[in-house]
Amino acid sequence: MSDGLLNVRDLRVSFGTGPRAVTAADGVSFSIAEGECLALVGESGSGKSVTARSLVGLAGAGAHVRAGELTLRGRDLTRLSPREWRDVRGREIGLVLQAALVALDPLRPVGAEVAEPLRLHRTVPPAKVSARVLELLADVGVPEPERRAAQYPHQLSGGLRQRALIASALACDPVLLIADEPTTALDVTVQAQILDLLAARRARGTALLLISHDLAVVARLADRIAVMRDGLIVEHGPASRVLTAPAHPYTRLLLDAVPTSPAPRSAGVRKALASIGRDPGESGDGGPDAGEKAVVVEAEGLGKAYQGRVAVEGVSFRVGAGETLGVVGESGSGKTTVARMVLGLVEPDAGIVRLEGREWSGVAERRRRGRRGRIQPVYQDPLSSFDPRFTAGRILADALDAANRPAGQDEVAELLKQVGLNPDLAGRHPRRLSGGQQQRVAIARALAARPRVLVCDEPLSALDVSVAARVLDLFAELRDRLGVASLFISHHLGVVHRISDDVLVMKDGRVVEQGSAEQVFTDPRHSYTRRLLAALPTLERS
Amino acid sequence: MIDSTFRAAPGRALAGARPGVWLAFAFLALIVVASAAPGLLAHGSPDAADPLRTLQPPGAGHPLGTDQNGRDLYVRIVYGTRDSVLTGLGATVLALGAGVLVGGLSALGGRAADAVLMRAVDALLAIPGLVMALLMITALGGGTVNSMIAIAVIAAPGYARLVRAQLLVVRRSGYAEAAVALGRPPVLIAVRHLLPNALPPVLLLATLGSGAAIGATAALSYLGLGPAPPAPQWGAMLQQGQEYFSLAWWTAVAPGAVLTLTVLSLTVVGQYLQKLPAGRLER
Amino acid sequence: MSAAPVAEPAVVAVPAPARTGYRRRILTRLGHALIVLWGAVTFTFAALHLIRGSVVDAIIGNNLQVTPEIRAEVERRYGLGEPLWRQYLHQTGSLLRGDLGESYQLSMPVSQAIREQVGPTLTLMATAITLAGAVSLVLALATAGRSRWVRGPFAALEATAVSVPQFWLGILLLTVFSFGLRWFPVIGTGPGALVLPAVTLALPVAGVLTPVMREGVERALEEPFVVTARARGASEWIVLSRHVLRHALIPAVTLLGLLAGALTGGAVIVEQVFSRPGLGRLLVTAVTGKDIPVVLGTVLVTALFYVTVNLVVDLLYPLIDPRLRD
Repeated sequence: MSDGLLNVRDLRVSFGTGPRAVTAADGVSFSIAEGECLALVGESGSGKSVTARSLVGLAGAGAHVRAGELTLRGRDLTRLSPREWRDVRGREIGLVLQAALVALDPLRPVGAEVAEPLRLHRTVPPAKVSARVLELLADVGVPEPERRAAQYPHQLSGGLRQRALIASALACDPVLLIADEPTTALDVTVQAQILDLLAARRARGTALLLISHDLAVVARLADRIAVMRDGLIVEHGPASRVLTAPAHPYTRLLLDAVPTSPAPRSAGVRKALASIGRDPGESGDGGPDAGEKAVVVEAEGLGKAYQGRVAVEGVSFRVGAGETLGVVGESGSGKTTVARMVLGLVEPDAGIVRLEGREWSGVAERRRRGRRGRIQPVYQDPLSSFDPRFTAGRILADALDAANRPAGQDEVAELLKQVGLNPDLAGRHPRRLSGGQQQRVAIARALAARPRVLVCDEPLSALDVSVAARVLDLFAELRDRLGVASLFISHHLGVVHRISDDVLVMKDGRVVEQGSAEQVFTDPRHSYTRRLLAALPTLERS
Repeated sequence: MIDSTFRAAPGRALAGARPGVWLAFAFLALIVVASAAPGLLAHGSPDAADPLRTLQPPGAGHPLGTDQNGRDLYVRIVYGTRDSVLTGLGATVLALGAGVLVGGLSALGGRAADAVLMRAVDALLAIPGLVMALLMITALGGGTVNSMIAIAVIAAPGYARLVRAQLLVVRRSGYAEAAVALGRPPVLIAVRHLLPNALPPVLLLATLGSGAAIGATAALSYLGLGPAPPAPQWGAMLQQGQEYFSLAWWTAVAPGAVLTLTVLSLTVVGQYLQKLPAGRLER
Repeated sequence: MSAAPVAEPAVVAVPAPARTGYRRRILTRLGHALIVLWGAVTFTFAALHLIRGSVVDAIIGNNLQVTPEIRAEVERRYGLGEPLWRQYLHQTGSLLRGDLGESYQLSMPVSQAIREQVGPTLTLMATAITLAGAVSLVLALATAGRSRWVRGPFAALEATAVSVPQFWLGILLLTVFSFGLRWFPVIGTGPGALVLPAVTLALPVAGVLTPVMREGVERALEEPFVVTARARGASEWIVLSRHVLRHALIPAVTLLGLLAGALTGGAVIVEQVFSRPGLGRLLVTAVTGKDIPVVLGTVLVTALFYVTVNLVVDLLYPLIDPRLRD
């Protein structure tokens, strides 16, 4: 383990002192050879980011970093003075962060940011800096580098910003590039391009340390994978072995959480479901015998424009009881606008929404109010959808009350049990619940009104993969047990594949493909769908 | 993705301020006592002049010395508390009421009302605070009540703006939308979710604002535009004693120090309260 | 190889702000400013004419020797016999021509009185804001991110600076440094006499600015782009001067607009305490003497100042923050 380009042995990072000290990395060891790609995979709080930043001496304020060995090309990094550290950073090790808007200084032109390492390390004479910046930008695939260099980060798309960030990290030709969640928050097609860019860099001899929460993302690039949890590496080995024959149960959990195939469901359950979860007094339309596909919500030719720009155009679909319609699209595709129109929160400019056969759009709010409980939202960020003064129990009681149902402790406990939560959590404030628990409370609130339809807008995006997988199972279970129809919106094709009966693929406000999940995923007709599927990170190695 | 270990533990910022906060609370308690029952803290009349003992330095019998008329400064300061403090507090309450009304109408009353009210608020804010107070005094005349109104007019536009901004944020929030999706009528949403979440920061600001209002009242008194001369108001005491400051520094120090401590205590307590409900405000 | 600070890269010229967007911004802000000014004029007129009742009484005051002839003369001279709406139109018209009327006490046009007094006030405010800005910047950079043992005393100082009533601060400084130590003249117009008034005016402003700038620095230090810059090998000095400082200035510039009002109010007090000539003295004398045209003129000039400063701040924003250019 000590002959690599970078050797790390027994790295320990802790924050604070005394009994309140928190250990972020607890004896981490690995090495990276020249031109090799090691992936460090783990969920939030696993210590992967702290580990990565310790390698460039930037673990953060108050961090205590110790290591049995920390060497780069045989040089002991633990003994570096601050000045020597500055010479290593940017020159020998480059760091790329997540593609956030503020990963590059938003007040400075992109070109100035890329030029900074060149000027700091004086690897090219000052007169040649501008020419080199343009070269670097062109090299990472930024079109029109002259124009882009003069622009500010906010004027670039997420993908271009990430390319510029990579260009600045690579400016001095470092031997090692550390990429911390380099594709998170990017659309899947852009994500694939960035991964290709990193792969090309590795092919040219740069070693790569790739940090990610997503096994599927690293699968196509990593030579070796180290899985981290609670500051420890629980599994470490060649990528092919870790992905196909994981030894540690946690790795298996992470692998299972990569949604690739539909969740199994029994046809019997599905047929028997309909009477549960319905108001007893309301059995006229679409009862159990009326056929399993009674349409609950339907949209016809929906259109919406904001300030003359078309956000959504010509969207039509039908969702039957117990069915799930997956809506897929990248950011800006109009899927959230569709969700808000279906929920009756935004009036469509064109087309109509019908709920349980009756008009839902174009109706006065006063008349819509009594029916609102029939269709309920589940948001991406549950915490912001809770009144910050309310406990979980009060949130649910309030929702039961809104639906004119009894709102006592027992009913609240029943709701919590329904979403797999301990009824004791009723007294807690949501901000003291975990992300997964928060989303379950949000689902419970939606169920309080006994809805026929759930409209879920990216309900899993804010969750860690293993948590997301369990919440996804809850959605599948509720669908089967209660016969709730849902509109399931996600940018993640794997998730949509797993839960949906039918799928709608959106691009620039329009539907480009529509059909059964089976057909769309196995035999996509539209080139855009094919591109999306090709870009989808899978566990298979390319 | 920055691991959560990078974030400082909430509440740590407060630990450092604690003794100061306690002192501030204690001083405010003293102020309350002095306003309600000045006799408990000081014996004798604030207007009892002693021509033989004018401008005595602090010492036995007169802990803070005497003024140019031989009146005991300590007694005068204690008895002046009520006037000095209540005018500012009254102004704050008036301003807060007007601010909530105007800000609420502006945020929830439709686009036309919003445009008109906010332009009016902008126009009021364009006249600097003290200048506005002087304008109001010119229009209304001097005196305690009028200076209270004048100071309320200065503060109200700020509260109106904050109330409006808070309401707009809260109205766009996920929980307001969730309440709409549950079929709740607008009035219920406003009463149950919007106002309770929008107003606490405004009330906290009012703590800081009441300090500023007390300072402004004293400033008006100092300019000779507050209550009539014999009243032992802190600002007025400073104005009346101005020509003796070079001879008797204590006449300049004592009333101003008490005034400063009052405003400072309100500032410290206000800042402390603003940080207190960490989970609620930082969202 | 050392990482010495290097000049701001000339590699790329700062692009010209999107012309049409910026021009439109200027026009809307200008329109907005005019509406606000008109509102202030109307409010001032309403305050003085509606609430006060008889303006003639206000002008004449308690002067018992006023004969009916003088009374009629006053009414005629100020047009007070006419209906209110005509007075309003007349006054607004005069204002548009730059005519602020005639002072009752000073026997000169109000505009002339203001012109004579505006210089010292502007000097005082400019000195104070420069002082406050410099002190705040140094303190913010020196205390940002430090332990609470360092920040605690400074936080206490800032709270005190904000809370101390300006007139008392002035009195104290005067008592100690002019009467006591005799470092500075008690009154006068030279640079020495400017020191104490400027400090008095600047201190509360610094008390407001310092924590805002420090918070700006601290917030910027936590942004990912700072990690990016450090990971390139930038020193702390470069991180602060090249990246963090501009971010910390944005909230400070926002405050500048608001502080314009506070500075004006403060100048009124400071001029009174230090017996300095200036707009504030003019205003206080006019208020005590019920010289309504002067009160009105001064109020409007301060409003004009406030609106202008805020307009300039508004237009400066996009130059500091390119994200606001589009």
